[in-house]
Amino acid sequence: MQLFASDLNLIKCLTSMTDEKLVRRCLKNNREAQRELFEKFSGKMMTLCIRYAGNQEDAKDILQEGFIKVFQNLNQFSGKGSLYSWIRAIMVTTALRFIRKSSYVTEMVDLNDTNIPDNISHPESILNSKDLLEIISRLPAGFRTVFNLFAIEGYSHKEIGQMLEISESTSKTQFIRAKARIQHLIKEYNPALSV
Amino acid sequence: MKNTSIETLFNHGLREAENQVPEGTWKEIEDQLDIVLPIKNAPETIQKGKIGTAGKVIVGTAMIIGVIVTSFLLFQNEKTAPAIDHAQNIIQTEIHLQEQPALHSPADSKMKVETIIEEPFVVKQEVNESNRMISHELFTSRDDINPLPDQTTETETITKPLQEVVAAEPVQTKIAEPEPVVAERAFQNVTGEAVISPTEEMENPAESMLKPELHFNEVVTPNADNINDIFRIETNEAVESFTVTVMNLSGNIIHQWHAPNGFWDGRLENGSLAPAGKYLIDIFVQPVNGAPYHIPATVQLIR
Repeated sequence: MQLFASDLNLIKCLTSMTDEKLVRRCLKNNREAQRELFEKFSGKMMTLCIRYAGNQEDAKDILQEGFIKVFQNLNQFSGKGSLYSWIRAIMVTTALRFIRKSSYVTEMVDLNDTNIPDNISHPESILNSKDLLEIISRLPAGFRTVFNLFAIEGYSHKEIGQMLEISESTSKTQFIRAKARIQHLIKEYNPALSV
Repeated sequence: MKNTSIETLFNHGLREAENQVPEGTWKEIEDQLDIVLPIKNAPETIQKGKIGTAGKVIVGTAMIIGVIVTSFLLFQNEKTAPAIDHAQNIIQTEIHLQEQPALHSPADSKMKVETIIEEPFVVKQEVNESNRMISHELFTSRDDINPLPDQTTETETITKPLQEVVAAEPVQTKIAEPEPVVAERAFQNVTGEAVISPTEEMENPAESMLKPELHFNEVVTPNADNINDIFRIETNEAVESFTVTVMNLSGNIIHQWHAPNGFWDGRLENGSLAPAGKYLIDIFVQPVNGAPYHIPATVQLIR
């Protein structure tokens, strides 16, 4: 067990060292290194972009814009946190700016049944990440944004309020409604699921 | 029966999920990078402040072209006299634009004008070509020295969230501050302090790498005496984010939170008091460096 822990630690350390090297090469405006960095993170960042954009085309635009920003501002990367979370933060900001062009708080949906149970039984076996992404994409933009920021990025409602220039309580209600909507969508998506 | 909340389901299912990037995305990024961050092979000297030299070389080339064309055209007459004035205007504006970055002396450009006005049409094309070259170079160098205004604003907007992410812990400490009595006394209670650091015994090869640490109480006594009234987690800055799930012994989720200032007050989701007893805790930790992992724990609820 101890051996395993040491191995894991070493791997973590090596990862951060390779990132550091990669960043240094990218800062020299080395296209090959920039491509390497792009390929290393683009898969996960694509998922992130789809989560916010709700469709492939917009997601691709956000991804491109985000990576350009990453390369333009790489000299500001302090190296304190991980490169991965730094890039993530840039992507989220880029996505939010992109969505801001379309309004996201305007879409309020009537829900006759707001008292929906929170839990789903055994959903993992039936819903893979593709299904989840599909469900998220079907949410109205406002719900999607708040749900992403709270449930997946892990921001607090207070932080979300500041980011989206809405009140903390709006963020909370948006989130609750988003969750209720997701329950509906899951049911629609797979009626076999007990919701 | 194991239940999962929607947040957990989506968080675990999507946070690290990868997706196919459409083909040609990198090519398009590369094309844009060629504009915003052009590769500097020859122009590298420009970046390092030797603008004068590079500029002179270019202007010199333009002059040589001008002189060659002039001598070639000397044999021809000034039959296009009325057109010359017009052409001169165009050329002068072009040169004026070109002068903005002030990379070559006015004398140079004057000379150029003089050589050019001999025969407007042919020469203009030539000059245009050299112009294009020059202005491209100028754009490059100016871009490097002073970023364009819109780039600056973008940089500013980016810096903000970055600082938030990197310095996530000031927020946390700020939140922890208002109730230090609760927190500190809670941790020094009879049950002692639970400190989980997965690689504690390891000699860390990278000095800059902090080990994730999580502190939490093992007992909750919600009796409003300010001692262990709530269950909460404190982390150091090596923890990027975490998700805490409180479950009863049959695995049903009682409460869950992501925010650093989240807590459990011994109540069920509907607000009623949870029965005394043992509760299961699952902490899903995303460290700043490395892969996420789970920490299982238990908490005793005493009434």
